Amino acid sequence: MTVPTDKITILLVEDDKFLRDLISGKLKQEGYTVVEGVDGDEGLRLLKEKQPSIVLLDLVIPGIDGFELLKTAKGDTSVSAIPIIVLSNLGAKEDIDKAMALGAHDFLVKAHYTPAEIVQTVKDIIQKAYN
Amino acid sequence: MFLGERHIRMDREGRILPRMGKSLFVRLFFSLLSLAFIPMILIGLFAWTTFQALISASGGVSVSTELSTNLIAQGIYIFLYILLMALFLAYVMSRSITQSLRTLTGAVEQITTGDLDLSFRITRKDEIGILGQFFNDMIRKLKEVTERQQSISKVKSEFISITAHQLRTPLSAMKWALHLLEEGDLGKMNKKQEEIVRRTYEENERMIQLVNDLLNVARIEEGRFGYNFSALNINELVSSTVKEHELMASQKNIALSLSLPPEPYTIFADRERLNLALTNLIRNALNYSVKGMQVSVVMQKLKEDYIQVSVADQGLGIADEDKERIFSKFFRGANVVKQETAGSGLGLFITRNIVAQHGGSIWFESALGKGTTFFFTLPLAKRLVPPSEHAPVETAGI
Repeated sequence: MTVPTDKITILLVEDDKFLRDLISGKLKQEGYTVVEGVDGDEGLRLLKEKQPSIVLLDLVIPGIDGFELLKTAKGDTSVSAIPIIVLSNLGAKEDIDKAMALGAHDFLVKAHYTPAEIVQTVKDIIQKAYN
Repeated sequence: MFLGERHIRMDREGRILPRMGKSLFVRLFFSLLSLAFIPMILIGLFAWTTFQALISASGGVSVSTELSTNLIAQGIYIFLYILLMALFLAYVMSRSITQSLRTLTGAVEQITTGDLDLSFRITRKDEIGILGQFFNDMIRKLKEVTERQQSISKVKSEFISITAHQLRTPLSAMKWALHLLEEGDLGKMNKKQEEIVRRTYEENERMIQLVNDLLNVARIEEGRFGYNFSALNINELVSSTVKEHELMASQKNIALSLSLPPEPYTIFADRERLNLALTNLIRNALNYSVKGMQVSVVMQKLKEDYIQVSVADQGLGIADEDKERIFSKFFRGANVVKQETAGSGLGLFITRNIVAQHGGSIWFESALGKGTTFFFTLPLAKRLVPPSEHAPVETAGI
């Protein structure tokens, strides 16, 4: 049984407005409900308030950074089960290892993925996690 | 000083020992011995001949024999005494020198391993004390230079990392926007618009690649590229890397062939990095070839425990004057630049470092206008792979 896409909320934490508009537009086109956070603190607040199905998280963001947000989220039982996909421009092995160790579901380097590929990854993870 | 390999003696802990018969102790011992013993023999001989002459003149044969026996006995006692004294003095003298030398040798050994956290407390006022003082000065200066170099290199790589990272955000935005246009998400375009958007997308991909290369080079130079070694099937890796380039080859109308050994081989390697190393070679081969040419990738097992992979093209080739610098950062052959082909001049630098980190070597054969073949080897045994990542040694001409 597939959950209708408009019932699925995706939290997008990204400080760059243009990038946020592009990805959010593509996700909305697919029928998802998108909630946007522009910094770490807002991201964490929305994560707890909206209880999204999945999170797309940038790492270098104002306020608490992505690593810190990831750590806090994974340590909080009310939101720890929500899969978090890191979508960042960092791509060094140590950054990837660190994020994965903190409990990230996947690590996508922005410049290496097209919006269509990112949406596909989101779809696959939702499929696996909620069906 | 020349230390021939055959002449090196080591103790149980692997420390190098001086050659037998060349040690300070043996030399001092024999010098002292000859210093005391030669005059003694000469005096003895003179005394004996004088006595002999005097006694034979006075006619007492028995007295003469008794005296010579006495004289010989005395000589032996004196010789034994000299022997003991020489032994003792040689020991004391050599010890006072070799002990300090050994401490210094230990320190130099420590410095060669890169550990500069040491200095000597000097109590001696002699020549060795002075040497020790100079040694302390030397370590202090070496430490200053090393620290300065480290901080410069840190600032440099931080600068590259930050710049590259800053570039990645707008590049990602352009990639995403162009892709949405191309996909028709923002409305249909006419053929001409589509073509321009496709070409812009490709240019943007090139810039992304350049930024990636720059980041890789910065990390390689810091010795923190971050390798992830595991046992992997090299036949499969080579074949999948070649497959990734089949589309590019067919678009350029170039025949890309692959030859693998019949049996599979397992090596200890980093899949992603090795794929990058081979990708750089295949891309170069395809970029510098034209329609109708052939690029062949051959993997074979060498007699020694190594795998060899070669990438041969029939393209532009490398001019003799460029051969020495071909693996240097940012270097591109003059003929290649003239052809206006894309490239950062970083690929071969990266590839060479990846191969070296796997315990292999890389070289090439090339003739201008006839083509180039790059060869690299990879060890089959895990023990031949360097245990830890190290920053590369700068090559001349950079």
